[in-house]
Amino acid sequence: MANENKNSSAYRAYFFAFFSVVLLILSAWVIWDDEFGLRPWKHYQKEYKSLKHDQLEKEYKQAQLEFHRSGGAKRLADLTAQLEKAEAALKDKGTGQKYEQLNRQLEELQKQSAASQKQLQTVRGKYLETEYYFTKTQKPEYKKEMDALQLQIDAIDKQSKDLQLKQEPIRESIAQIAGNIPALKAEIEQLNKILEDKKEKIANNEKAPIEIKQFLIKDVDKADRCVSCHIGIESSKQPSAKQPYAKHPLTSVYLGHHDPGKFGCTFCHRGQGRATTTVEKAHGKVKHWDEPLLKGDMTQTSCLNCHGDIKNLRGAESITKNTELIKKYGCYSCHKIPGYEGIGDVGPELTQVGTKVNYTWAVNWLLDPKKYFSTARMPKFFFTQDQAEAIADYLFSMSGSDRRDVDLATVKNDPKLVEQGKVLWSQARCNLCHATGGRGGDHSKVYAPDLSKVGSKVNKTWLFNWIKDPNKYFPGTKMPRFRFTDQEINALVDYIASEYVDDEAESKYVAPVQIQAASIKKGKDLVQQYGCYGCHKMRGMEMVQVAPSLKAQGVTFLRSDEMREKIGTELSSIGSKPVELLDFGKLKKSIPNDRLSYIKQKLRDPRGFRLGLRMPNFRLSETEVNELSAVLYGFTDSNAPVRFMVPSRQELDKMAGVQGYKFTGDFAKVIADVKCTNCHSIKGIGADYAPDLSLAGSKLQESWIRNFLANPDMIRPLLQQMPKLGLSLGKTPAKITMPKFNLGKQKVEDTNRSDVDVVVNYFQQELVTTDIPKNIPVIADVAMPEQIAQGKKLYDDKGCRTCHQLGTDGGAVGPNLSNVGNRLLPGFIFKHLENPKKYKPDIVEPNYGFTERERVLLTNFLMTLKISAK
Amino acid sequence: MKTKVKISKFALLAVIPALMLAGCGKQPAKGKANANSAGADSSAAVVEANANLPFDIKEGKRLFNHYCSVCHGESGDGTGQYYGSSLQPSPANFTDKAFMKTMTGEALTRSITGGSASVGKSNMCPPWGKTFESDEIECLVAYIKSFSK
Repeated sequence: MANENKNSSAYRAYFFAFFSVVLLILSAWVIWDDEFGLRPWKHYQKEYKSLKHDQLEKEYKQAQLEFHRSGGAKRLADLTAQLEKAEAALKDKGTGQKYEQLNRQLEELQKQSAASQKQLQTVRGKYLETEYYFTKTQKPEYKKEMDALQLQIDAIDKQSKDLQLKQEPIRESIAQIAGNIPALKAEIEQLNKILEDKKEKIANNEKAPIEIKQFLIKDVDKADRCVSCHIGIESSKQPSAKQPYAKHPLTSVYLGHHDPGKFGCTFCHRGQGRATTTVEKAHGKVKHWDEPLLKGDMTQTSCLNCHGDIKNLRGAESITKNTELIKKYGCYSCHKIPGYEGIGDVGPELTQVGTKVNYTWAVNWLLDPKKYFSTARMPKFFFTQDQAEAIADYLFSMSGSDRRDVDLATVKNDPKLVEQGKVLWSQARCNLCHATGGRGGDHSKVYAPDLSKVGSKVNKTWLFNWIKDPNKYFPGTKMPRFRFTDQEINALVDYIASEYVDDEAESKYVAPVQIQAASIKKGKDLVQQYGCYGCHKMRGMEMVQVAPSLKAQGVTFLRSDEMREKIGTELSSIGSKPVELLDFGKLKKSIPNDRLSYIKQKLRDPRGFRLGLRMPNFRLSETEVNELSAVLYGFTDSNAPVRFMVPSRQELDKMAGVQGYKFTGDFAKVIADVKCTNCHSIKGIGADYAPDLSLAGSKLQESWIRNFLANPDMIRPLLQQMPKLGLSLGKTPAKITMPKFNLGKQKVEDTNRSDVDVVVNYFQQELVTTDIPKNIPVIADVAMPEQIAQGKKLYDDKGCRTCHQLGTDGGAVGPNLSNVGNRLLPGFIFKHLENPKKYKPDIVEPNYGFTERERVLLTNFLMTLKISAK
Repeated sequence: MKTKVKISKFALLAVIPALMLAGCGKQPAKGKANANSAGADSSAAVVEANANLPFDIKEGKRLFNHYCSVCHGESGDGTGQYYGSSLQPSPANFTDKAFMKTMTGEALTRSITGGSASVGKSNMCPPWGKTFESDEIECLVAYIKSFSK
């Protein structure tokens, strides 16, 4: 029994010893973890401090070297010697004692003055406090107290003024006695300060406490502690480019306009702002935190939270470019997306498509648009042959009753007309918008179909009618009316029909075949199911004349009210949709379960999540997937406070009850006809291919506008056009000018005025600004010829020829200036030189900081540059 | 019986910290593995690599291509298409390692800010100091230096 006891107590002792050790280790670990393990920012702050110390030390040493090199040290020694000498001289003269006495007096007075200032501050504070209580309670005792305090304030004020006055004579006597001593002292102090400042910075860095740092945004109850590790984010000179010590990139743009003290970090970068224990937690890359950190270009997605207009927004270049994809692919056709309302259809009108294209082409197109053109925007719907035929039947029956193809073998083209058409084709610059054979067309700005094989797609009658009046077939199309004569149109049609043919085109229905009513019904269901009318306008059954043979079989079309709802999910808050609400379906295990991965996968393979999904496949490149997902990720239920919001112009107009800019009168008719805004932007409407015309009336001379419209010529070098148009034509670039619209030959509809008159008139009445003066300042003291000579000298001295040509001399970055005196108004040149970016934000021309006089001289010189008309 | 109870108390004491330890175990490592397992094809990797360029370089590249490449060329070798063939001297070649060794960051910054004339060269490169912010010039310098690396 005793033995057993002994055993058991030894056993217990071992046990106790073992767990004591465990407990000790645990305690140590708890203390360590609390001090270091859970506070990684301490390490970063220490590291930053030492890096900063090294940097400051280096700067100090450099400053020291510089101080010696530039003679600062020598000067300091000289000054000190001089000061000693002067002070010694003072002593010798016997005025030394008096000098010291005066200094002491002055010091005493200064001390008193400082004390009374301090007192004044306290009493004023008290006064304000009492005033506050008085206004709040209206109790007379407060008023009494206020009066008493006011008396005190007056007294102290008077006293301190007296003290100031007393100092004056003493200063004067000191100056009389001491001569240059105060000046010497001041300079010595200044010299010493250069190095002392640097030393102080080092000392301050040493003193900086190691602590949790945060931006507290009170009105939204946000505390972003990111700066606890990213300690140098606001510094102007980073001690290291390594994270987390680096400064914020492009501070002037991002932090400059978004003071972190007011905006914090996580509004733009997301992540878990309060977390400080691990990097993963702080960056939000942990389970159940739906907002992982955004970095790099992806951060720009957050601009969409607050900024209504991002076009030309500095710092939002990447996201601005990405949003073009929404317009390119027309996401808004099926999905509701705020800010993308009222944009035209992405696809052409289809009600009359039976009169336009061959049936076999239509079926093949429906099966796989990219098979016809690799650049096709229309997505693949994965229709079967039967389904594609049913849809084609539905569409064709809206304007007829047969499946029918043109017999391409029998098409005849007149060789003479073909020749003429070829010339017209290039004069009209069709390739600006339409690609053929891989050349021309810029699909990011104006999407016009590739015409390489169009001769085998459409019939000649339709083509003739189309070119004659595009608005008639497709109201709202971007295709301009070129004012060709019928003969010219015939020539163009023959040229197109002979030149741009598809060798592989099939024609199964040269002999027409009657469309079956059952197939039409099937097609109708498909059109409704897949919402074809989201992108393509199709007029409802009320507007369509059904062929009698079909009507007898009970064929009907979709009514207007059966179309036009947004068929897809609303996307206005997809970027903040809770992850649990995203249906990963069968991909739940194979892709990361976060929002961004979902969006990307949806764009890559829309129907891959499960059966029964309808979204077609746009076959986006991986780059496009990334770009588009960045935009979608930015569509959030923004929780940012109202004070962050920068509404778009459109929204502001709406709030103010102002109508957005609209073209008026006959000019509106010209725009609707010639589609100037396909290329030019006017008052915020249109594209940025060609120069912005919003201020054309203040910029261009009338005679030049008239000449140019009648006979467009190249003004700007290819630089600004080539990249935008994607026309890379090898070493000798083709001349690209505005298309010849044959303006001035016809009257504007319902009026007696020529279109050129209408344009010039509108420019001069509407597109002007008082900001650009009609007349430039006059320099009275120099004769004009001399001014022109001086202007020329400036032109040469500043190196303008690097970018501008006169004749053939100079670079081709900016416009050739040989004829600028005939083209621009002097007021515009004068104003433009002040700040080139003002009238064209993306201009390459730098701001030279010219004085007004220089600008006048340059303008006067440039206005003499004219090419006389032959 | 008594001992047994005591032992189980000790065991309990031991179990609690053990549980604590397990609970505090480095979970983030798990998260990491998860993130890495995300399948990415090669084109995605290229895009990713591009996205991971330092911001300064990317921004510098954007600015350079817009403002500088017209003369200096997008590859930085001084063969921009829009510099007049009759003009002398030719734009600087930033891919020339020997030349770039003589151009410190400070020298580049000065030359960009004040134009080539301000550093005693020709007047062909204009001053950009009133067009760019200083940190934009920093980005440009970083990108220009990357040509000779």
